Amino acid sequence: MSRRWPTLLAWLALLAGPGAWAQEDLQQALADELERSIRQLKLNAEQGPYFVEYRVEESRSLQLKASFGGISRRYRNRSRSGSVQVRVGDYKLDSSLVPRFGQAGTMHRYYPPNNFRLPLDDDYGAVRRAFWLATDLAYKRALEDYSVKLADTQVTVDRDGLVDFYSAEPAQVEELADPPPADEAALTELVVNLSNSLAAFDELHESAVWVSVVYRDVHYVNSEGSRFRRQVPDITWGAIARTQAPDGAVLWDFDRVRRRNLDQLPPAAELQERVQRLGQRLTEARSADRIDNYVGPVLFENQAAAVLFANVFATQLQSVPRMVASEPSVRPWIRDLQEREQRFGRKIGARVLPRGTQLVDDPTRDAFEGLPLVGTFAIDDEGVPARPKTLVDDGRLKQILSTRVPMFGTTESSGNNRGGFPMPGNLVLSSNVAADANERQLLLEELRIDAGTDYVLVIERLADSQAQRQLESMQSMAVFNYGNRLPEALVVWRVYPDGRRERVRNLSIEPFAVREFRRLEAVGDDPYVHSVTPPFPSGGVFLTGVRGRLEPVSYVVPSLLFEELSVADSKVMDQRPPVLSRPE
Amino acid sequence: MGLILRWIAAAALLALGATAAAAAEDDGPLLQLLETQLKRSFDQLSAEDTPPYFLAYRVDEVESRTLSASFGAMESDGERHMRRLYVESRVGDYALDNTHPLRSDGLRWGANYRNNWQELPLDNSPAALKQLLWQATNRVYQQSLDHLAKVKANVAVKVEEEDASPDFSKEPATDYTEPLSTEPFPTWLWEDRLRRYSKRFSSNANILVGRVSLSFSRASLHLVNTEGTRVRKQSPLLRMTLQVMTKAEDGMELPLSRTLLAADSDGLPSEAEILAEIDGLIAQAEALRASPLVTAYSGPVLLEGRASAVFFHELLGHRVEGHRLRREEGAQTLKRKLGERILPAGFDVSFDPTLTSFDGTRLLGSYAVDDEGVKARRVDVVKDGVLTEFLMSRIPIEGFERSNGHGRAQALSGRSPVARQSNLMVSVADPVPPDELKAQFLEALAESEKGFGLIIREATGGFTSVNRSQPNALKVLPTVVYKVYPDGREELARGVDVIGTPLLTLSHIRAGGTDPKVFHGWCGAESGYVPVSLIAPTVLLDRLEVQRKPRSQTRPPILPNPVPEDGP
Repeated sequence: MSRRWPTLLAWLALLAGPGAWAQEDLQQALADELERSIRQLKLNAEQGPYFVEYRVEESRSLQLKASFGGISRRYRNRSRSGSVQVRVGDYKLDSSLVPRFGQAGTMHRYYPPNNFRLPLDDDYGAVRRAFWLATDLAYKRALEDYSVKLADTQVTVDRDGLVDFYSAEPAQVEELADPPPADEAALTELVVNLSNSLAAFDELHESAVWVSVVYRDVHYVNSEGSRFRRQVPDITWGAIARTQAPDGAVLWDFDRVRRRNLDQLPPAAELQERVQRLGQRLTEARSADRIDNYVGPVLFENQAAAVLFANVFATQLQSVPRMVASEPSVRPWIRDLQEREQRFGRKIGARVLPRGTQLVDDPTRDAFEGLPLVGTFAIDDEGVPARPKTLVDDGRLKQILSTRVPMFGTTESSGNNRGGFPMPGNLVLSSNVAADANERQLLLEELRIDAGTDYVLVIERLADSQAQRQLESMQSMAVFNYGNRLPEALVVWRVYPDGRRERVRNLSIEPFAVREFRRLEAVGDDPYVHSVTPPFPSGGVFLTGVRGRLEPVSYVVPSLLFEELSVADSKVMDQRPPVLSRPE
Repeated sequence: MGLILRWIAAAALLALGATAAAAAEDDGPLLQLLETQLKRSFDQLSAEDTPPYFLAYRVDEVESRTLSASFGAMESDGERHMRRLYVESRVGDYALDNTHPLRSDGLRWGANYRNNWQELPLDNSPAALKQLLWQATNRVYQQSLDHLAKVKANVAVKVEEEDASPDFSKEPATDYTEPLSTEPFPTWLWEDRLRRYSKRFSSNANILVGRVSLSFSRASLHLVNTEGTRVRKQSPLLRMTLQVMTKAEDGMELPLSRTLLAADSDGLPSEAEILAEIDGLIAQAEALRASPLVTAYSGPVLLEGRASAVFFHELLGHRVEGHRLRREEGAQTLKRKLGERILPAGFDVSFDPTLTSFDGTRLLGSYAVDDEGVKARRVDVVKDGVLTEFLMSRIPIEGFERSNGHGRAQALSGRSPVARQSNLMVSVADPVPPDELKAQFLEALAESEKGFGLIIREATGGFTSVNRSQPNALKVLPTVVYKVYPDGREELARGVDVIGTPLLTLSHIRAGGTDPKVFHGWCGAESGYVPVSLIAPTVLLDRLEVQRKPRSQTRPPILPNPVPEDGP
């Protein structure tokens, strides 16, 4: 990196202190336009809205990425967007939940009800004008949708008794942060130095280190009297590397730290150690063996346990709302999809994990055994205060995550609207019959004998979608596991009865049903904190009108031992070894 | 293939800046390093069983900063700086290589660069660059072997191709380097100005979108190949866009825009001139709100300056882009028309990337060397109404074995260069003065016995389809249309788009005027978006068809604008 922009100081100020957060004109503009809309917005003889909600989300970001000792990406951005929700009707039956499959009008591209561009300046008039147009459009859309809902009541028998919108007590919360300044020069030096360290590993073909600093400031107000402001710094440090084994198979691995504040990032020396470990892991993988196929006991440890739990189990913790088809032709399709997407919505009271297991979502805590958590918030995106809740007790499902949008299996909001979806904050899995390391070892051996295998597999690291996106951003030819496959296993050990551990590589776990978690052989006593952008809820198509941002979640998950899983060689990763000699 | 022209309409007369405003020679090492590594790679690969006959390294770098303000408030502020490497590996020979299109397989021209990018560090660290060049070359070379095997099988099992031209043209080496500017963009000068300019839109409560955007960008290309070509060039651009949108009572949205271009801040018009442009847009939008709708129509049309330029770009320009005349799925409308009259006598059409300005206006489609390292030159595609030549990249077609310097691709797009338009110039040997042209138009109107004709004064872009599987048609999107009655009376109207098929529409052109105007746009096709400038005079057509524009079904806002008018 040879130069800096003259505007660097201005950027540091933007990314810096609380002074940048003062926005009285913005709040006044929201309040005034909301008041006008709820009182005066009415088309001829039609109903006016019974509920209006405004949201402003400002984001300031700085991203730096270095590769082989040089900065390869420098990205700064500041943006502010608005979202409007208008409901016509009443809480029991309103205009919501009518999915739209494309829009004929074109003003949506200027001021759509969700994520429309807002001025960065706190200009009262400009903000009001933007919300005026978006509210107008949202109201007209709501009127049309309400007519669809009314018509639907004439032809459909209501069999589930769900209302259309859960009521909530008005709440006012200010959740202010005081983020330290983002020192671009220091961060640049950090990623450059760390990328140099990775470059020192001769066998790595490609590597990168990055840091992302995002400060988000959310203003919310609704016509029921709820109001909040939430400032959320979101910091990510990451490193990724890629190589090829002598047989040409592509190998890659990564490391990542997600925090809510820059000063929570590990010190440079610790990051240096993590980079070294990453380089060593990948170098060792080159000489690892391959196995074609394995069916038998599998122990997931550390990060692998958390990624598996986040991808397979935690994605079942939401349900879907009852949608109404705007076109009769799509009604069967919607019903079919709703049935399939119920996930845990119809399993309240059923066993979903082994006896003795608890699963708690607690957005109110900010650390676990001294480690920072990232899914912390005081109030959710609909103005419902956050609270801890037990989702699974003694292995039985007690409740699922919910928002004010009624969904099968819910009776009220659990305060989990995050980015429009019912999503967890900090999800902690534990067991009061947890197995320690010795017990896990003994169990593994019993299971091995029972399965008749020569060894068992222990998986330490899995890929996740965020890491795969990073790999993709380095070059176009990254090779991924798409489709139904589970995340690729990056660090896998073959463990023999005598305790000997051998690294094996290029393995993928064959998909398995979530009910396998009910039959877990053991849950460990070694919780691992994994903070990440969660997988996209598969029923997202139903959550019409949501803004669709995925907020970071911390998963605290101990080791998980499965009696039998299928693991196979991921032949898709094969490429020929390099033809050219490596440059000096 | 749908081909699109967008971000249209430039009005200001701008001084031409030098291609590089300030020279800061800190990128020389990159070109040298690329050359050294290219030689190393080529030498080693030459020992392979199937060696490449051609290898090239292309590095695209784009620095940009974009600001925008709306109704007096800053709305966005973003910055981007990226550098990507594209390796081109050709195995086989010039006649048949791995880039040959696989028929019935969905692959298209230019599969060579596609999806083969590699992110590079922004500085010139030799260790990092060597490493990344090495692994990208390995990867792309191996892919080229795979592709060649597929190509050979495909050629063997498919029917003989209509055009048996080689896959790659042989070109002389080019050695061309420009100084590169690394001066910071003076964005700090502009925030308050943009607020002031965009505040002007608050003067009319019917304006629903009022935005002023400013974009600084510098796209640089470093290119070396094993034929000895070495190119380093840079295209700095400052673009200001004024956007306005209002809505008629019947729901129709009426967007208007102006784009002002310069090489640096000093090249933009004065504040008074920009505010006058904004006032003009507001007045035009207000007038359009009250104007009547035009319905479907076929009859005499006068296409003025910039609308005429878009018309020729869509109608003719995309049909003389050479590579498309070889594609089996292409309509190849003009392929067999060489030597035939396609326009009235006296009409000339050329594409000239070496032309840097016209009548004081800087042109966007200018370059000294194209994106394949071939020296740019003027190409006269129509002379005296007769089709004479096509625009060529290094993809030969029957009768045209060589490039004429029109291989272009969007920076960072990952697309291979193909033949694209540069600066389009339509001229007429005996131009007709405006009054006389209007008189001829009224005569045609009288003969047609239509109740009215149309004058199309402005357009915002257009698109055309050139495939066999779809109607071979074009659409031009006018923004300012006048109904003209037989007595010469003009009435502002709205709500129509120009449509037509190429050969029939060309045959209805009758005369051209004395008033060439420049239209700047971003033209989208197989190799991404490239900047073009189009120059054409008013043209008279004795018959042209228009159809109704799509109309938003959303009523105008129910509540009044909450912000009182605050105007000059």
